[in-house]
Amino acid sequence: MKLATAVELRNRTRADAPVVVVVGGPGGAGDLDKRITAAVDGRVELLGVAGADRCKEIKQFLDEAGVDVIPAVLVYARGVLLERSSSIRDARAAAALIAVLPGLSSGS
Amino acid sequence: MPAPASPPVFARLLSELGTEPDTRRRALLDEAREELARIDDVVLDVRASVPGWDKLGYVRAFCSAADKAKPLLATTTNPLLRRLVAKALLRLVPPALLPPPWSTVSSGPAAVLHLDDAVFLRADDQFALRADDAPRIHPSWSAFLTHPGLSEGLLQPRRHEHLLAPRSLSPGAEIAGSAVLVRVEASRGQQAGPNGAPTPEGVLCRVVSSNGSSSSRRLTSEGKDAGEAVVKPEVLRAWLENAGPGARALDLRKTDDRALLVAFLHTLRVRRLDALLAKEMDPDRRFDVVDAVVDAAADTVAQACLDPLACRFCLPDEEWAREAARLLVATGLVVEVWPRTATGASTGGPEPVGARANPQLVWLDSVADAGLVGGSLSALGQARAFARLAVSLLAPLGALPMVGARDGNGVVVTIIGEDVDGIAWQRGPWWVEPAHPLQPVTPLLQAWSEGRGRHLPEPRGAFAHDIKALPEWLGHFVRRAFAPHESTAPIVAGAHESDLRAENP
Repeated sequence: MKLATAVELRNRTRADAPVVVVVGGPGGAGDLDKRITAAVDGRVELLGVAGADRCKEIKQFLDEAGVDVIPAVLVYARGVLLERSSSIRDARAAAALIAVLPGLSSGS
Repeated sequence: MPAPASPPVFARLLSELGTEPDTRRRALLDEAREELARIDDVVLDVRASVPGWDKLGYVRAFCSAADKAKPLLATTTNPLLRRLVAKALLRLVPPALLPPPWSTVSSGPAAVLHLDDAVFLRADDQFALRADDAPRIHPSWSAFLTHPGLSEGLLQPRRHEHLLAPRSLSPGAEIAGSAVLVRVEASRGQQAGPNGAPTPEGVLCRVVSSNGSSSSRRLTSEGKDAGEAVVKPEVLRAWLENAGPGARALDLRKTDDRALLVAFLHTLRVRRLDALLAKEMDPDRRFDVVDAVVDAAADTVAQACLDPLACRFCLPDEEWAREAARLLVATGLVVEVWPRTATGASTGGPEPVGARANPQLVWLDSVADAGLVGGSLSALGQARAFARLAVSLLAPLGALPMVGARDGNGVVVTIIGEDVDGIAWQRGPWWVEPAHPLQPVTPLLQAWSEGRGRHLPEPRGAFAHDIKALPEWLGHFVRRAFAPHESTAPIVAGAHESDLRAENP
């Protein structure tokens, strides 16, 4: 998973392509990024943020996104935050999280 | 200090619920609910009678009850059973161990994860919509939206409380939002309107500050006076009609959205608002009713589900808390998360995230299924559920939602109407945040001062409400959703293209 800079976070989350942002905890994202990677399965761009508040811009991004606790997963499409979760326990939960993305579930 | 005993009767009932055939389940559900009420009584008695009650004792009771419920959780896929277990466990979480704002609610989140029986039992048929569910809404509640000159009238002085305007109107204004709130004071200049009638070239606005004072002077970001705060009326109208980039209607192919609609209509009936909507009413009283309908929609979402993060265990750095954490982790139902400390947020500098903070323990989503029916829904998911309801049924009553705030926790709602003389008026805007236990509906100015809803979507690139088309949309939606002949074909009302104009250029 590619670790994103603040500029990349701003730009990619506003782009047309949906993007999933994985915000790592104190010890990194642990297994969380693996579960998300498996669920996304290459269909969606995946960005990572390690050491969540390592710079002012990333901290501002997380503040605006309402991230209170980490690790966290943010699901974006065209600049709109579609879901935010901090407890992805398994691949099924990860898949359910990104199912809110347009085009990734039959109901969208 | 006594902690409530783990609920053996409730655990037995739940285990029987997992194995009994459907015919026996309803009676068992009733019995389980009675038992749940008895657990409530015990917990509330203890809370009322014991100051500084034994938090570790409650955690032990929670863990004991969780252990008893685990066999059922492992075998049942029934989301309603799982939410009953979650509701019982929730009684055993001390409010003092919850994060704010729930920690300030003395009763804790005891009232949430609630579905009235009339809604609960509709799960048997997957919340299928029936013809007799259809809301009866008198045309007068929506017809005024087609009146010519409505939008222009709303922009007249003294016809509105506050209108949203771009921050660039007064970059130096002392206000916390990404936009500003204004009141129109006078017109400036004239130009030919689209139908040939003269329209103002610009409008002079009073820009409202955080403390409620207002000024008609434009301030630069350096705080210098830059002349009158004048804006084109088209800009104000674009903000008024801004539905946001995240606006979607209910998708009635999904069980969750059908359940939401059934629950909302039930709330309207319980609050006797359905009878008011069914008849023509004095236009001067319409605002109160629509306001109550907005409250009903927010409450429906807020009562039916709970954000897993809102009921996580936040344990202090004390010896008993370490024992409590060990017990909770041993249940296998919790995952650890770390708080982002507030230090950096106030200083604006980098912060040592979670480096020394205690982990907090999230448990609800391992017990309750995700979604409105399951009961586990993030604050953002709750706001989006409210927004879908608002786009489908509130906007045609004049309660216009703006969806797509940066944090997604809430929706901006502005109510428009006409008085008895046909003169347009506007109330609001409000910030509707269903997951907030204390103030789910609050004036936007107040929300901004509390740090909520500050980053709103701009009209450019977002959907816009086609106000004149909303009455027709309401009829279309109700017909499609509740038509009796739709029993086999899927009911689809999810396409937002029907009621929302194409994106703003």
